[in-house]
Amino acid sequence: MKGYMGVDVGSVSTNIAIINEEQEVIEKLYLRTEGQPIKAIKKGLMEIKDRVDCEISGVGTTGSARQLAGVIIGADTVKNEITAHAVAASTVVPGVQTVLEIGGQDSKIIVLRDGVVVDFGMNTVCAAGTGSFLDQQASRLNISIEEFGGLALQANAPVRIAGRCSVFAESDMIHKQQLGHNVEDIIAGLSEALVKNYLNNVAQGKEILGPIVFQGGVAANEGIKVAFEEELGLEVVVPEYYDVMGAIGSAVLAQEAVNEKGRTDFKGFNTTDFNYHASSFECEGCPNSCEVINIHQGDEVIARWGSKCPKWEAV
Amino acid sequence: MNKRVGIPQALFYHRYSPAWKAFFTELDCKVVESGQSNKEVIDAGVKLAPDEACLPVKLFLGHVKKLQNQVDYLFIPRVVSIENKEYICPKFMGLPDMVRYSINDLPPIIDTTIDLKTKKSNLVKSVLEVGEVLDKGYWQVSKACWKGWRALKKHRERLREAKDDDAQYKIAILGHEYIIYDSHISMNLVEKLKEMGVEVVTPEMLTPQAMRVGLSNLSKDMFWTLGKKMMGAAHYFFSNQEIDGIIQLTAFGCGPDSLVGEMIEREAKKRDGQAFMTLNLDEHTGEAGLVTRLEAFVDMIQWEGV
Repeated sequence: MKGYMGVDVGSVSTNIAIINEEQEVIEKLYLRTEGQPIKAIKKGLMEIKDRVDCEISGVGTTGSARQLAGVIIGADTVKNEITAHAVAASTVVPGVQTVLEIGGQDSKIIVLRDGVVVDFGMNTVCAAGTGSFLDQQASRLNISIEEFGGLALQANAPVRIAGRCSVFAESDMIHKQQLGHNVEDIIAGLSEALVKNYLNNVAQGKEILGPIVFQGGVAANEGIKVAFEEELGLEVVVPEYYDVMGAIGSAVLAQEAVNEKGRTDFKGFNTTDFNYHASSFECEGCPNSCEVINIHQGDEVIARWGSKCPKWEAV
Repeated sequence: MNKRVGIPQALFYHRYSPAWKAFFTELDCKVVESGQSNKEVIDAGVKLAPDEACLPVKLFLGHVKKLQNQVDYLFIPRVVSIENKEYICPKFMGLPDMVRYSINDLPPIIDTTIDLKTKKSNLVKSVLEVGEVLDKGYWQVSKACWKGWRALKKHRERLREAKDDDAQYKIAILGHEYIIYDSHISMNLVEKLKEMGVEVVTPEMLTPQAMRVGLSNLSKDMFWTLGKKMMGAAHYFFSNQEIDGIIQLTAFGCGPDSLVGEMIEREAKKRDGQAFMTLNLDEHTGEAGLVTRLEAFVDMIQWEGV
């Protein structure tokens, strides 16, 4: 059997999905990146290798570490996460018109019409960190992130929280907690605040029509999903594989790329046998002081980036 | 020895540099440019600038700082108006003062006022004033002015002729020339798009006729020259079938941009068929974020084309 693998290396999670030729998901994996993308990629590959017995005919990478993942794995296509998420959503939910995606660091909205992306929006710097902010708050309240969203549904009177900035949101939450509001109401208030902020910031001015798909790690949070539905007055669909949609999209793109190329550049699962590490230095050639990064496979430098000029381009 | 006149490579440099260079050269001066922006320049600018300054002004101060000890004069005109009944952003009017109060021990500043609000011929007065500072006679200044004008005209014609026949897509970039053509703050946006197989069109490449066509769509006259130009260019691009997408570049802290940008964005929403995206740039903007958005934007155009 032939399979196509998509690898999405984000700030918080590293996800792998394998699809068959009919673009059905046969295996998926969700790992925490834990600040070490190279380690996470290797760990993910080793784990998924034992789970599937199909021949990998193509690999795609996406996410903020897509370039890094691409050189380690030998990707056939390296795509930005906006495109990957759009492709996945329209593969999994045909006819989708709006994709809401909230990840660890970035959040985006993608508007599709007749199966084609017509508009997208992404957070500015300030709205960043939605997923990681929820993580932080969950651990501050000593609640596992899995239960966190569900608690919001048990709220009777959600409190008002300023969602414009996560620093203010946190101080608001603490203030409310000290006044004696219960945790459920605070969490529900937080969900509402984040949804409002998303709609005013990321989705500002975008035409939101159903079917709406909500994906990315934060889609696990039932409270946020419900807050979206209430705010929009529309049903919001969370697909079965919501947490690895970027990887699925990337796998679909890999299938297309390989069909066109006729071969794959995949280095094989043995690529995990090598020792990968990165080193960086500040170039002193001009006042730009670029931070150049070398990616090593064993003793060999296999890729390099970070410079503004071509000086360091040759490896 | 020839006097050295320093021109900071920021703001209106990107619009008028060919004219300025030809003008001062003809006046027997050695023109010293501050060079392309880089991290050092921008860091220096951010440190010197008052809090509320916009990114382009911060950058300007960085360029002045770089020239400080290399020249006999600094050329920082006080530009009030360059079109009849119109104004330039107030920060241009106060630029020489802002520079003087932000940086100590500067060489003398040639801060001639350029105010063409009532009549274009006011320019003669301005250039003669510069001549006076440099101790040059009427005829030499007139000749220099004429040479400057010729150089500018030639430069603009060359810009318009630039074409890329191999490009698959055509994307228009809306924004001030001092952002688009500053490869450091725009993070090499134009080059990046070219590498993706895109032909880039900027408002500077439009002919005066095209600009007039665009402006005829405005319901009301606008008295900011730069904003008006942006609106005119936007409308022209909207109606041009060859343009596949429009990217609007705005600078963080720019007052007029926040208004004009919004107006253009609303207008873009009313139309189908052209992709539209706004990118707001500041000194902290990460290149990775920019690349992600650009790639997705080009993908979107490609996808629609299939």
